[in-house]
Amino acid sequence: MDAELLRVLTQQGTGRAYYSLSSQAPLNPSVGMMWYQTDTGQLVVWNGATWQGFFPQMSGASAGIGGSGTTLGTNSSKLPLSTLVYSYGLGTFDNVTNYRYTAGVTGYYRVDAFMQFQMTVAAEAAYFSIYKNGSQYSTATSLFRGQSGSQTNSVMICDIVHLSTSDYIEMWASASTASTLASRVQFNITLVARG
Amino acid sequence: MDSELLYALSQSNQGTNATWAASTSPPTPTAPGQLWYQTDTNVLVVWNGTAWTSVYYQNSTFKAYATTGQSFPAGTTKVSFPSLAFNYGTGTFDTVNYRYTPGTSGYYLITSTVRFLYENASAEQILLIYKNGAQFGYGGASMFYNLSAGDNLGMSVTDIVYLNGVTDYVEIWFTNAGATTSAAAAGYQIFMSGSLVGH
Repeated sequence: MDAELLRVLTQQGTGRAYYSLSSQAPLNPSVGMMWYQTDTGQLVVWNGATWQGFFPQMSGASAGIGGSGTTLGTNSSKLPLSTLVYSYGLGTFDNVTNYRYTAGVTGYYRVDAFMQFQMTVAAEAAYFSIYKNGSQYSTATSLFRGQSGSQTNSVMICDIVHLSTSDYIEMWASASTASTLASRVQFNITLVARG
Repeated sequence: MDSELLYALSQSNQGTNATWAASTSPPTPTAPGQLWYQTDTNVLVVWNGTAWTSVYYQNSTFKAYATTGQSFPAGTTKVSFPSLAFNYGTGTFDTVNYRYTPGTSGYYLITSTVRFLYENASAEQILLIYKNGAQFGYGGASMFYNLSAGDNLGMSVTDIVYLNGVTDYVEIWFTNAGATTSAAAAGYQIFMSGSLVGH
């Protein structure tokens, strides 16, 4: 909506923008008129056809791993988050080639991710990492011992990452035993503050 | 920031005008409520009478992390986060007392992850959020059985805590029911982060 706002502002050409403060939409709005909806706390702008949100929405995305999962190695590798649940706001999620979220606006983003994996041996560790611009940013560890192989365990990670425009986030993972199946991965990211 | 914007709008007569500018450099402010759309950064700010302040989200957020190893003896020990990755907004992170004190009241989503070495047989370890020096909720708990000394383990805790923005603070504590346990040194494995999620 930033671009829309800029367009609206620059169309005025007078250095002034009209606004209204009420719970009811103003009648006969002109382009660029702002309306602060007092009952909802939303600021919207008339773009000539409709009232649109003034604030940029909370950019974010959600994606998961497709099919029956992916096999982990003992060295960390990128998780193919090929199933896009949603992506909104100014960022983009590449679920086809690079499996990464690229920020469209500079700010602080919260990442919440979960990985379920199938143990292949009785003692197994899994390492689940957030990568920023190709480098390890934070890692959660999960180890289970004394269970039989083929049992399901999980690991999750939550953290906050500062991203500038074009910075990107990926999820990487490894296991202490090769050929461990990561059967389910869910990744969520949302902008929590601009700055 | 809606309240700030509302304030700004209310400084002018309702239904009339709010001045604005779209440029890369700040205009000379004339009155509270003046808007400036910074075209090079795509940020809309408002003059509050003293400074240009963003009308977008200013949710305070922070992240702190460990840089050296630490040990957790039997009992409950505060987790050390002597390094600050970032601290945005109105809060303060104390890298001596390892606590976050927000400058704005509201609901904060707090999370922490700690990787540590297992050195106890069937002993319970718990990672806890503390508010004002007291346990808040139950946190992340794990009781690890059948492990071997030296096994690397990890725990995480996440919860939402209301903080009054004046005196309330949060810390992360580690409860260990067994012998001394040591934690990893790498910051990417021991960290605490949080952000304001609602007023």
